[in-house]
Amino acid sequence: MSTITAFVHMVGGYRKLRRYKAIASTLAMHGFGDIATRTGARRVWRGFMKAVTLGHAADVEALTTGERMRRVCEELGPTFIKFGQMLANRPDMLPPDVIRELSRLQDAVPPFPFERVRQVVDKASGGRASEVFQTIDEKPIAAASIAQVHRAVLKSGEVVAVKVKRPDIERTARQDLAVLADIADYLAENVKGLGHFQPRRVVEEFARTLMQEMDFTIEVRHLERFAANFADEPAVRIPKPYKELCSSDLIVMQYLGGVKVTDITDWSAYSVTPKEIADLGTKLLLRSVFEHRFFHADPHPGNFLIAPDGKVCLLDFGMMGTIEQTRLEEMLSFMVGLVSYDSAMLVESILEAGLAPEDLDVRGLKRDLEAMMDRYAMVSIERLRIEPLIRDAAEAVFRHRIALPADLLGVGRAISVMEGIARRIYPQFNPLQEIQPYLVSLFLKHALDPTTQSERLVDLVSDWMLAAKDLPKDASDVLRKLKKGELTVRVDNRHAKEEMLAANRRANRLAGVAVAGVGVVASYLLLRSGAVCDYVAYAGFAASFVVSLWVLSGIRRSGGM
Amino acid sequence: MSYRFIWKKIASKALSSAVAKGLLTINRQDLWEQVARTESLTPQQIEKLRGEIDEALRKVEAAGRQERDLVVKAARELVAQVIKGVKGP
Repeated sequence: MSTITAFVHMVGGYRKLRRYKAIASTLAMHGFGDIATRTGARRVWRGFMKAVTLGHAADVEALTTGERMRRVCEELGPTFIKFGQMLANRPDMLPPDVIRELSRLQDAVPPFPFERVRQVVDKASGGRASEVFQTIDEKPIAAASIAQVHRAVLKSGEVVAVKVKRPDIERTARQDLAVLADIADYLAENVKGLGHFQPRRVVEEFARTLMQEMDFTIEVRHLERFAANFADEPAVRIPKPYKELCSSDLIVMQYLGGVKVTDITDWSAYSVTPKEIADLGTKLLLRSVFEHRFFHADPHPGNFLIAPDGKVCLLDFGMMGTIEQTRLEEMLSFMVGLVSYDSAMLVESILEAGLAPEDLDVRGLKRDLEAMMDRYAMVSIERLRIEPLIRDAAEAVFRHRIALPADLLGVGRAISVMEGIARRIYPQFNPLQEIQPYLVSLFLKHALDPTTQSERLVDLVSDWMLAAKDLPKDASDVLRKLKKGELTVRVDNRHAKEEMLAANRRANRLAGVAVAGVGVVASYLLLRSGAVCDYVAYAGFAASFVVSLWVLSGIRRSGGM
Repeated sequence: MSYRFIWKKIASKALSSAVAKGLLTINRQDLWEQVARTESLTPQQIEKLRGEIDEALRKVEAAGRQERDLVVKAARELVAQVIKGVKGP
């Protein structure tokens, strides 16, 4: 048994190694060889990568960093495409030109063979797929990085959509996430100013979202929750899942036919107008974010269909955003400050949320935000767009090293995407006219809601009482230990390991110098005395020379004496 | 369900009701005038919102009235006992 386990581990290790190699060479080919050589990839293919980097230097120079990053993501497949798309929502972390390039990343990929679809469906239905399905179309209606969707008909005659996960996608994703974590560590240590954004945490958060998106049982729950939240909205349709036929690799759900909202050229065939759809889309998004705290984080036009009867069909609930109750007020204050051009409120919401660094120049931040808002205040309300307003605010905040929370950025992105869709179908769409009254009303309702404030106060008092209950005993324990001289204080020095390694290296170098020196003197004495063969003395000189080279190379690598 | 949770619920309802009663009593005219000055809402929207908020406050006040009265009664009783204890028999 242990031999089999060892073999499986070996095969797994080999696959991982191959993936490392592929990632490293792609990074190197696009001019990111430095990252490739300094992360875990160094162990695999360092020499090769250097060669590849040099070979492609001319091509790479002609492209911008953003273009190269986009190409790397495209070549490395689904995990990196998703990661790039996520980074495109971080204007606080990346410059605008890189964001623009990463926003171009497309999720569309070639479909996988139908045989795989048949296998997954058969497995999920306990080997009785032929009893459940009348037909399953071989040609997918959509193929994306994580799954593809086929139209099918159940034996009962109901038309359904069958969403099947790509083969091996989870294993590849795990390997890619391990490499991304290595890259994040390297960037945190070596790129000035990036450590503040905690790249490792960004990757971990992305990993959590991606793994959730790959677990289709979670998406089924999302479908049900979203449908329940909008049960009172007759203009909206959300596909109903057939839970008994679903698994972690498969979703069977009601098929909702319709036309992609941005593909409609003649609205006269529908009972709704583009303005009504634009208003409805905005209302749905605002309600889902600020009332349900559970929103569609990927509201691109492909997930927004218009049925022949004018109803809006929402699709793909794999990537959903959630907001904690406690964060809602902070987010609401931030958004109200933004759409009301109130820089004081914006700054206050940032400070209250604890997002600012300790040495924040509050007056400078307020001045920057005011300057930015003045520019927008001069734009007529008809011409004003929310997307650049959010982007410029994020950039102004970013200049002051304030890391905006991912959920706020997710909301910002969702609003921007929705605004883009609304403007494409109805160019006169005025987002502020919809968003501002909604946010201000909700903000006032929250501010004057006694229930939320009271619950928070009672929670706080209750926590204090619990702490107070243990306080006398804890204090008495500490005093008793102090009296007996048993009180120990543990100091956690986070840099102790690095300091120890550096000290070891210094000691090794000193020892090296001593060995080389002694070697030279001993060899010289042996040569002079003629006690042994001359070759022994020459060998001593050579060994001393090698040791000296090793010491010098160590000093050069560490950047000086 | 723990005892603590039950007591927290009661205290929270009582406090909500007391805060709602206070908010209904005090004059909030300044706040609405300030909102009107920002031009974020039209006068009609402000009037509608004001009505909705007052309605919500009345509901919260009524929903926790029993708990509020209970807590107030218990607090009065406690204070009376403390005063009695301080004064002595």
